[in-house]
Amino acid sequence: MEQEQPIAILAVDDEPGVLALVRRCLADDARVTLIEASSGKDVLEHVAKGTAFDLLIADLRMPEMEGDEVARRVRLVDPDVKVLYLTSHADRLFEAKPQLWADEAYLDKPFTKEGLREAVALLLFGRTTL
Amino acid sequence: MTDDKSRHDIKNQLGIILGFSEILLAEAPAGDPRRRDLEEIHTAAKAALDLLARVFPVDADTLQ
Repeated sequence: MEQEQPIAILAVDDEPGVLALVRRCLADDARVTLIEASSGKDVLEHVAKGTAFDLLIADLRMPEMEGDEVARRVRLVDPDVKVLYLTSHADRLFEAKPQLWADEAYLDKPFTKEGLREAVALLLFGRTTL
Repeated sequence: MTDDKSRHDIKNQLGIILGFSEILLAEAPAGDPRRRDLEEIHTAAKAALDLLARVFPVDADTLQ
């Protein structure tokens, strides 16, 4: 993906404050369109409606449907979507999911603005700045 | 509510406080008297995060 292209990101977290922080971290980048969802079900409704996005930012731990299951279902429809998991215990993530798929990464909570932007840039562009 | 769920939820809330206070600190001009207030909020949130790790240590069988 080229750096000047518009970027569509879908962020899902059951905690509204975390979504607000993600929004704030990305707000000063005019290329970014952020779509927000509060559950895996919301994400799948977006996908069913044909909402396209380049990157899924997903809380790993959510009620009803966890982030890796959301990602798996999204990728059944669009295998090119990249995924950034937000997790409270990255070391534990690998016990549940020993190997990340291609185009997946994780970011430990609590995260900083710089940390989130760097993770997004690495996944989308293979470099550390958006 | 399990300890694991409590820890996750409290950590989420502290992460929000830390994240926003860091952003505001980065944006506040040098000499702005509110910087000290923001630093207090940030320091307290970090201390609470450390306290959380001591009060709710991660269980060996806990995931995520």
